[in-house]
Amino acid sequence: MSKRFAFCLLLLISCLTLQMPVCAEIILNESDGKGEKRAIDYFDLPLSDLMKMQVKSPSRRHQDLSHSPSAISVITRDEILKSPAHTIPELLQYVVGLDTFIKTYTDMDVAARGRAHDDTSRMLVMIDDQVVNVVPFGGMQWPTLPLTLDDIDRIEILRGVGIGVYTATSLAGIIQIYTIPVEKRDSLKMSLSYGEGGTSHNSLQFAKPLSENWGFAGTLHYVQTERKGDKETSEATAVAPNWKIKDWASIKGVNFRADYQSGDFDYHAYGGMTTDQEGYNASPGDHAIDRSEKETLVFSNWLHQDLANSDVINLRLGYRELWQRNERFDNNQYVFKYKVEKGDGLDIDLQYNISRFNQHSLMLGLNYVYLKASREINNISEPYVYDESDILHALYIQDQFFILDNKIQLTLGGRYDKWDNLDREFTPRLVANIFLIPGELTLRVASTTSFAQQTFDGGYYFAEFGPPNTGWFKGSTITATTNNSGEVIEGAGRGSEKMIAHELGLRWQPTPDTMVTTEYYYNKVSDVLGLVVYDTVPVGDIEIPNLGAATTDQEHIYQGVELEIQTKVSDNVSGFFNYTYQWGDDSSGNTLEFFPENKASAGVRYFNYFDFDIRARYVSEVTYSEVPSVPADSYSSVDIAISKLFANQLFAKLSAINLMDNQHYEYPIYTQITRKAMLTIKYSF
Amino acid sequence: MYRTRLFFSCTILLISSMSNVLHADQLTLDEQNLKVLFLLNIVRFSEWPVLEQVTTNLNICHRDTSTSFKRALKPLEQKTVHGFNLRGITIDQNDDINDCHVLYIGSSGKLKVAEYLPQVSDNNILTVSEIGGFASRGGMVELYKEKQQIKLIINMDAVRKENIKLSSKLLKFSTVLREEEGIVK
Repeated sequence: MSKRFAFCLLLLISCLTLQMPVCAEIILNESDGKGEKRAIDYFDLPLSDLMKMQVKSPSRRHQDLSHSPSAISVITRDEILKSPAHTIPELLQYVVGLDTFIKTYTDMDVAARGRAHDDTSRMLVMIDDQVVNVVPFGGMQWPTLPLTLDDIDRIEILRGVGIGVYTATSLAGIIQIYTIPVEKRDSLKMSLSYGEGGTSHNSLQFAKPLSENWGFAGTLHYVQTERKGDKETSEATAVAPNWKIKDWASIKGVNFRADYQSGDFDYHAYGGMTTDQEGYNASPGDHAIDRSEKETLVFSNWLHQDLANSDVINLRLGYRELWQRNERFDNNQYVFKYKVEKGDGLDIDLQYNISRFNQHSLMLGLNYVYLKASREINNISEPYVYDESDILHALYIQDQFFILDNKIQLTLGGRYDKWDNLDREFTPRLVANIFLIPGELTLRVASTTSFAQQTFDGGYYFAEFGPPNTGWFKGSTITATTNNSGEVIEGAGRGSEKMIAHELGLRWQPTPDTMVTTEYYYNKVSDVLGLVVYDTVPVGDIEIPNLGAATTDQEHIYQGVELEIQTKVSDNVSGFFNYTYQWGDDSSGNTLEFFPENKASAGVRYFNYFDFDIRARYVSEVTYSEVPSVPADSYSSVDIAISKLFANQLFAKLSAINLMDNQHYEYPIYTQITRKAMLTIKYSF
Repeated sequence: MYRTRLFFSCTILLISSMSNVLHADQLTLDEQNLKVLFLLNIVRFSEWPVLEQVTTNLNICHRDTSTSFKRALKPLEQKTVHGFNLRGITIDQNDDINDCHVLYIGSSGKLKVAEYLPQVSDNNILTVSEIGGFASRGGMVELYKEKQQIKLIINMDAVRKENIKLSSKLLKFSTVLREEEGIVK
């Protein structure tokens, strides 16, 4: 392994190095097509040629879509502002290739290409380049992000592994959220939204330049996902008459952004914290009521330094933390209490961009991640405590350059990752953007590799609590699989899930205002992370298994076709349509059913005296392995928003999610999704 | 899996060995270098009312600019435009701007535009900047990036007020802004 790895790394580095042309700053030696070199003086270039020249992009930010090495969708600020959505998952539901299951109004799974089902750890979520996936289980708790829609400048969704060098473990893709720079914000802005079910979203934003170089902005927000007691089931009333619980959360948050710029140096920091209290009473028939409290903290720093030789240094330093306490109430008593978990993550990324070589954008980076998770459950038959950590040391390299008379842009990259609890991994990636008709038709071919490690919370720990109650708790990743005699089963348990992905995409831009994108992907996942029995607990006459997340000998193949059309018909009318068809099989020949086979979305935006945004989507049936007898039926939803900006200060929006009140489940148990009509007023002082 | 990785790496080597030949119309440039080239062309297509009577130099003053911009500007000092030697001058807080023909304001000066523009008023100084919204805030020429290319916005009212003439060769590649009419092109 090590020799092969070293060989591959050497190959990669040497070929990238060989590829570098020797170049000057402004005046370059060019071929005149006859094999002779001649000097081209850029100072003599006519303005018409200058207008066509491209700015070399040394970093991984703000790239033209046709040059993007990843399958990418972008949600702009204007779309966010005028759309019917009030949460990020509601926005993401309309992105091609992205599955979004709203299980409850506080529990939403979002991931691309068939991986949304409890696999959200494979979808990386970042705010301003800082990973915000919570540490214990690796997924996302969207409502408790310290962020409002008014803080977001744009959202970029990269489906599939792509070429993202942020991490080797983003098997499903990356959701990258960029916040608004201080200089683009209003000095004081208030936003109030109220709607059906007691839902409300409120925020107060301020922004202020502190000096010539410094700017500071902050946001206070309060969200009530649904009123307590609304549509409370009779079972809930019987079990806990005073709790008034259906599916609600009260979230208070504060966030800030600080920007500094001086000459060649840029710095920005983003951070925030939320406290959350939430409760949930499951569907009729389930008497138990869960309540939880959470505190979420995110803090990121981004430093950017232009060097005199045109190179660029980027340094990211981020921290994320989740603290959570749960309690369950049933039969007029606490079933368990003080189920406490905590997760911390420290992320450091040092990146050096070499842009002095013409045609090449070379990126070298070092990545350090420290993760720590702990859990304490004391009032059960066997107190259960774990406190574990894992450390990543990684380095990555990426080069982007043109070949064959600029007709092909190649992006080559690779990462070397060493998690303390895993063997080292090397994941090379190769993407070619072939400009069949420059500026109009681009073919994208990608072959990439990736892997996923176990999360801390991957296992299920069985325990008795207040007998006769029994059940499973989410538990720690196991370090070894044993039989009931305690003997380690060799080769079982630890390891990583591995994926090889092939993508073929076509981007056609027949006019500047129309973009048609099609993608085909083939993802082969081996050593699939699943659940294995690592111990059994005798309960009466029955042996109850404890389950641990571990690699299995299963192999899954995911395939899909994505079509996306975006067009601007006139200055007043624009529209989109997208369709996703995806399918998958495991190595036993069984069809994977935990994602919808068909998903279609369409929308029209019309701007006149009022701005209209009307959109609809259809999602086909899904069957989850843990509740195979209750499939989530196919459903459709129509969402609408009518908005207007008055005197550049007052913004009013009337919106409805699920306008036709097509009551449905996006997950077969938990919360039934109903209509949410909302009125929003924003005022900029 | 290891074979696959090996295959990937070999593929990378093979493709990388397909050496690329550069052509002038396909080149990309560092952003600051490209902005300096635009600045040169803006100067080429501008006429000042009394330039020939007072100096042999055409002074491009700049403030709040980055090191990379200053570095990119250096080669410009070997050039002549309209028979005048181009000269780059870094301006600080208390420097005299009377000798400037062009004032380029870098992105760090975004919070001070409102302070800078009155200082250069009535001095026949062409103001150029990469700051967003510069033209609509009373500046003359704004450079902005769109789809990896540099574009121009020109505030004609501000230009005329300073008795500077811009060639139609420049205007035809620019978005022209008139304060009372909004964007007309």
